Amino acid sequence: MHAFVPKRHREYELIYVLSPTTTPAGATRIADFITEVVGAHEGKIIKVDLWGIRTLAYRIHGFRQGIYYFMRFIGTQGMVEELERRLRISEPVLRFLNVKASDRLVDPASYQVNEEEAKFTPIDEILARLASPEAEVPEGAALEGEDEAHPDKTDDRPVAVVPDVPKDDSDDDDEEDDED
Amino acid sequence: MPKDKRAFYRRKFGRKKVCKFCVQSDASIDYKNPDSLRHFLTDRGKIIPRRITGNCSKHQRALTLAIKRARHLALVPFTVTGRD
Repeated sequence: MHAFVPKRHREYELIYVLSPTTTPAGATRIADFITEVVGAHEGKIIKVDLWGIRTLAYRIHGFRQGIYYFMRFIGTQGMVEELERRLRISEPVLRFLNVKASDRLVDPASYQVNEEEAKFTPIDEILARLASPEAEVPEGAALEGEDEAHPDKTDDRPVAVVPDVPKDDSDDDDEEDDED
Repeated sequence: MPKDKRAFYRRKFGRKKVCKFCVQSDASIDYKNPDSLRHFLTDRGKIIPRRITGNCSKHQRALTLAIKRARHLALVPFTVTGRD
């Protein structure tokens, strides 16, 4: 049924969000299977970045916060399918997004990788900070309240460039309407 | 219609809008950076049409894709209703 897919490696970006109730062992388990899948398909992890705990823009499964991991890797189509399958059935993963970073084909063997950058950072420290009662707001966590924190940021919105909109496009769907 | 069409339109519709991403070389569209996307969303979280922002269609398409990716990752909201 499936056509033969040659092993063509490309660069991908993966972001996954873990629930704040994830244990350090659970996060390590996910990191382990990602490393295993990438290794099994002759891929390479280029970079792993723990963004930390951030406030979600909307609640997911009742959680208001999530632990964001970002990674860049070299992989094949089959590897991405397997990775997504396993992320989908992982309980602590609230959301994940895998996108092609570039259409260019790369050779993983000739790709230089900084070993330090390709390591998964454990989440123990984040969970400890989350558990402490006087936890300070981590960087990037105040997404919803950022307008209050930086009121000058909203000034350069391009909305007010033209105050009066031409009347002849009234048949367009008006994005500005408040429907609810 | 006056003879000078350009002057007429400038007077009626104000300054000509330009695509921010075409003009500013350092401006990029990135779904990982919700701060940059928020300029193109209403307070309700809706995507502002390009007739308002002045974006060109190429960059509006890229922006829409980035916003939809960011929404999926809960970096920007689908909608802001005031209810929680």
